[in-house]
Amino acid sequence: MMDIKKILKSPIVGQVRSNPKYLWIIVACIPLLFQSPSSSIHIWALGLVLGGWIANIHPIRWIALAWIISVIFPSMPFLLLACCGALLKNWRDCLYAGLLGVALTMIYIPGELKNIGFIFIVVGLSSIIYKRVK
Amino acid sequence: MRPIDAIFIILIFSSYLKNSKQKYIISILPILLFTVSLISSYIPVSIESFVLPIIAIIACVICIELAPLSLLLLFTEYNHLWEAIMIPVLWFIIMLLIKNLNTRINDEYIPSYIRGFPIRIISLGILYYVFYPLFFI
Repeated sequence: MMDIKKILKSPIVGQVRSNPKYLWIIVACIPLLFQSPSSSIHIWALGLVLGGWIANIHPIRWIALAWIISVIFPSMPFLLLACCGALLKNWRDCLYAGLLGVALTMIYIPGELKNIGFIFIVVGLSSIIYKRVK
Repeated sequence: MRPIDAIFIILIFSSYLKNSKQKYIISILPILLFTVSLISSYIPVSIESFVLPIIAIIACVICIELAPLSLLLLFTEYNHLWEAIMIPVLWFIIMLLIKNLNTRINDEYIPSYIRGFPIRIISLGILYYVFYPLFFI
């Protein structure tokens, strides 16, 4: 029988998370792929920042927090917040992802480019430029 | 979110997780979720809002290591059984391809600023466009 307390404290969960520091950018793009309305993205960003502080690396806490927020704001799908939060490593990444997610809602991106292939290529090229300049 | 987007997000996050046997367990989640969506009309309205959170918690408890990825699979929309079946199939095919690619993309002839994460993510981006038409069959 698995112990929930052990799961909550499990360091293994952390292994799945990003080693490179750029992966929070991909998490920030998830609402874009979901084509959520901008109002729900603001709630998602606030939830992400709050969750980064409360839930941090515990997936079950993320589920609980996301569910509570989605009860208060039904426009936000609860799994959007739960999965984004669980993918992130620490509160700083949550904050960055939330801010970038909100910033992305202000930019017009054509529907054809709203796919993960395009995002991967853009993130890859940006990291090359960043590494080269650095 | 489209299933193919979910697969590639999983791939970029799971490429750092080595030898996890739990990936075989979470690969059945799409089919499970598709089945639940089929029988959702028979689920009483009073407990309907609890179904997804309960499945999410069970998935997290069963697959501790891949809990974030199981949440991502639950979050995806499956319109056809084909999409739910394609997820694990495509996942394992691309994982094999990446395993093969890893030996080449880490070679010394690749400039240091491209090696590692940048070339891996760009390769995945290109593979996305290769497999994209499969979801229109």
